[in-house]
Amino acid sequence: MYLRAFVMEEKDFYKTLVQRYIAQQLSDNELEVFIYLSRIGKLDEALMAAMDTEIELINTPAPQPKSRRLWYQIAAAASIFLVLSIGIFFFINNNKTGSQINKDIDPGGYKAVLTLDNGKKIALTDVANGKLAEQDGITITKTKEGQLVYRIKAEGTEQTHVTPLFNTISTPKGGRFQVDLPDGTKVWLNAASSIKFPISFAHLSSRKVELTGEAYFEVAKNKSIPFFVNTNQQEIKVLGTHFNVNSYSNEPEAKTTLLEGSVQVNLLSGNKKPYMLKPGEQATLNNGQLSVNVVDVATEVAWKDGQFNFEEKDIYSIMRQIERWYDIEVIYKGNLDKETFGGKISINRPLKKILNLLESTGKVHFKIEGRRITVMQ
Amino acid sequence: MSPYDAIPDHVLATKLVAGDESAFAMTYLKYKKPLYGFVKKFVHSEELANDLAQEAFIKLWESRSKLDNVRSLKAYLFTIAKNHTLNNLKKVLQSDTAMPEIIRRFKESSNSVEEQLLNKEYEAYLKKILNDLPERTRQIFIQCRDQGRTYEEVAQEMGISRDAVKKHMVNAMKYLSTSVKRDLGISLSVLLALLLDQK
Repeated sequence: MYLRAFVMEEKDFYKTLVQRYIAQQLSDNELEVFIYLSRIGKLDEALMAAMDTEIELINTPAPQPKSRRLWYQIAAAASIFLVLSIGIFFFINNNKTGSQINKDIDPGGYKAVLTLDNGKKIALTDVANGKLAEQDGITITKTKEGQLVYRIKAEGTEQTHVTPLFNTISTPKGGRFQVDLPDGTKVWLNAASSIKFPISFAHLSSRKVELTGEAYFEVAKNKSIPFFVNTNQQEIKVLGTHFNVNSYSNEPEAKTTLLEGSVQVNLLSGNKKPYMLKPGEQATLNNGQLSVNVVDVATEVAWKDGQFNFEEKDIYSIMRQIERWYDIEVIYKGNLDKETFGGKISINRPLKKILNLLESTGKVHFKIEGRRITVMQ
Repeated sequence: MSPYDAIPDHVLATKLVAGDESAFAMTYLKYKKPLYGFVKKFVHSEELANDLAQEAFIKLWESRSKLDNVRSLKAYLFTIAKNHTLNNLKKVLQSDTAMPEIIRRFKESSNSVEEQLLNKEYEAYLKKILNDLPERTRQIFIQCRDQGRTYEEVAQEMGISRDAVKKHMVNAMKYLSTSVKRDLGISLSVLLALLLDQK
């Protein structure tokens, strides 16, 4: 159980507004308010403070005892989003500067491997931007943002195949990727995941993709051709919507979270009735049992926007996420079952920063040997 | 990591105080990336960030005599950049014609998600200020949200000097040619290529 601190003063509001400005998360309304308040000088103090924090981060030489001070400062700056979870909390702002000054384990980045239908593999990290391949009248290009875009070259040049051609994109541990599917559907692929899809949906009666691991989907609307996501245990039927599927084989639960629209979750084994999810709901599959809960969807898809967001998570669940992103091996010593942790941290921080913050709770300690991390009480 | 990182700050600072332009070039190469990254975080426009970061270096050069009394070159440089960025951010936001640059750049790479859940108190605050917003600010915001001026126009109006370092470097060319070769072991043309190609 945790309490949310709902005490907000003017200063806190300014701080949050500035933080959201820096993270580029402001809505139009917020942006308008931001501009108005900066014009009349009301944000000077908050902007100054944010700049000082930023400089402090740039100047902090990696780990050691300083992290305590840093943690304290950042926590103070973020006080309005404080989640008190049995006294355990950590938070750090979006920040990319840390990795340059740290020789510890760097976070993952945008990397993936594209496997064409003919088995040819293309490492998407190393290739230059521009055209990657042309198959069946469809060009695959990589944009400068590292995105992959499928385009049908010209009307009618596309050939019809009895069996469609498939491509697979897979991310290693420590890799993430975003791809625009041929129908305009956007897919964010989390670490250690893969998605298999036909390179054209044009002559198909349904849009079927296969997923392992975790992905966030923004499915392009097309009522006549439904979209299906298949995992090893379930099938999710979609009609144009935003949702997240977490189906790692080493996670105890497979979770489907709906943000917008509607999806139908079907179990592949057993004769369970399909369940229609409403926005804000999450279907959890555990040992063949499907249960539905209302969740904080922002937490569930935080990874897509570059954040780990842990709410009342046990250390094992947190370490599994960290393991996938930093490509490390985790070993547990002693009984760590009792504690839960809450908080947010950018996925762009070096590993040590995250571990230091977790340690600052006093509930858990780490021993680091190369890429092997031992978790202790 | 660039080879310039190897030259310690106190050496650079001493040389800067003595008016050594090659030390300036090296300071620039050493810190341009983090400084640009820092400024960009607060203005979101690449062009504006680039210009402001360059102007911060010029300000460092112009006030180099003060480096004698400064503990850290890096901290001093970032403090200059901080004040310069804040002043200019406010200036740009206060100008009805320049503000769209920030809005446009902000929106180009916005991470805003409609479904985002916000703290209730925060939303209440936001609403309250929105209601109190002067009609004029509102109109300007709506007008310029979609239409934009070119960055060149904006920079001109704000008196932001484009390519400040470049101009400075070209002027300093004759001083540089010998000392660059001596200190860096590369020819001036290589250094200038590095400097002038900076986006």
